[in-house]
Amino acid sequence: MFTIKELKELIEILDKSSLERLELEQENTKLILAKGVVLRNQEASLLESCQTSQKIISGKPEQQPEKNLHEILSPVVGTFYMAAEPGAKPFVTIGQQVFAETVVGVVEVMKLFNEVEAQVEGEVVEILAADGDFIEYGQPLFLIQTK
Amino acid sequence: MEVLKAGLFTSIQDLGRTGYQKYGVIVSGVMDAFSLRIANLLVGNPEKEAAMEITMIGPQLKIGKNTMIAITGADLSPMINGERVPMWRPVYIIQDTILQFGACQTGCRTYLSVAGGYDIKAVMGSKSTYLRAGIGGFSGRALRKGDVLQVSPVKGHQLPFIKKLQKNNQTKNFISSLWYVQEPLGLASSKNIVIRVTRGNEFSLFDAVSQKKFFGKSFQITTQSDRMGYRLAGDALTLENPTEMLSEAVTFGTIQVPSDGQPIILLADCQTTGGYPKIAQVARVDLTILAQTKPGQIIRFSEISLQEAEELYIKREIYLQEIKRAIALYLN
Repeated sequence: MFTIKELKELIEILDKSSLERLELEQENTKLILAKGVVLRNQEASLLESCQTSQKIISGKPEQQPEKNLHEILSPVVGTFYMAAEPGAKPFVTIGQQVFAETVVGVVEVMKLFNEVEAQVEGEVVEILAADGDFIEYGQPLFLIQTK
Repeated sequence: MEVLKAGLFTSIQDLGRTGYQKYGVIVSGVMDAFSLRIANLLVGNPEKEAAMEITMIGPQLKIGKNTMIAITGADLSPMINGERVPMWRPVYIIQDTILQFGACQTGCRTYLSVAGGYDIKAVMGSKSTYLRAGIGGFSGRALRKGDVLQVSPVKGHQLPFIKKLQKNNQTKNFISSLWYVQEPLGLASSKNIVIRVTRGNEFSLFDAVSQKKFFGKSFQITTQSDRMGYRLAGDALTLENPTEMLSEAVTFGTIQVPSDGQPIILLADCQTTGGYPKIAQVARVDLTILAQTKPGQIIRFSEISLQEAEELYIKREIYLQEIKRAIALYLN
């Protein structure tokens, strides 16, 4: 997270420069500073990005209270794969029972593969990303129905 | 680390003892350099640091102090308390834990690196074991029951590895990371093994039929094979005219053909010079695949140009640099 002092400094730097827009991502925070005229479309996407960042920071799955559905979020930015190797059996399929340590998928970034664990016990009800998709940090990958 | 059981053949090897072949001292070193380098990168060691090379049947080791290791190469079913230890990633093991190996699932040679490196005195600039001369490595020989290996202290930059591992909340006596390097595709396959080679210096001295046979037929790795060389069995390869040769330099991957026509692939412990005609040279990148084959397996050769071999080599080096950078960035 940025301190007020850091934010002030960033705004000052942006103000003095000829840059129109500065986007910064650090761990689980995304900061967008824009000056001058902001077009309608950009405004919409700015708001959306802010909302996504909020979601990442709070990490609360939307439907949890109603149906005991848990979202498995990606631990890292990268490319999502359903199986260990191309052509291999996928880690999980819809309907499969998983435990907290069950590996449900991998996300590859800079040639390193990150195992995504289920973290809860339950049944895989939906797969939210496709094999080979580029995934953002905190993006939901699976829906697990817990008891 | 205490050796409770030695396994079939376990020795300390690094990337080789270079610079002394002119004195008749062989290079030795690991059979599968690629797996060794990754094993070292995974624990933050310099790529050329020595590791334990484990062949086919693994040892039983008691870990003396809390240690971070990595296991790469062949899948010899590494286990702790009956639970599988994941490979190709850093693993932190609590002291007094016993690491052992089970069935050989794929490949032939496994590498066990330890953060900080094994405390082995270098001989002529290398920690590799030169078995026939009895120098280097652990007392110049394979490991035996009762041997105790000291581990050098980890360097400052290796602490983030350990800290990151310790964050994983696991209640067993080992903690493995959730990230890993992908096992190279085809590294440990046992079917349809094709080794890419470039033509040897004396390729043209072989008759046309033999030249075709070399690339067309398959050969079996006989049981008369070890770290010095693999003796192959197959259709005999003959020279156009019987030729006397002066001994010339040979190296890891040189394929020579003695008078019986059965090729020998020279490996890590090969001699420095050879007098047999050299029909081909294994491309450096495919030494990895070769190192993971075992006696009894069938292999074939396919020809590539020197340029292709160089390109493959460069691609691999780039890949290793990418992994190194990725691991460094990832841990910070």
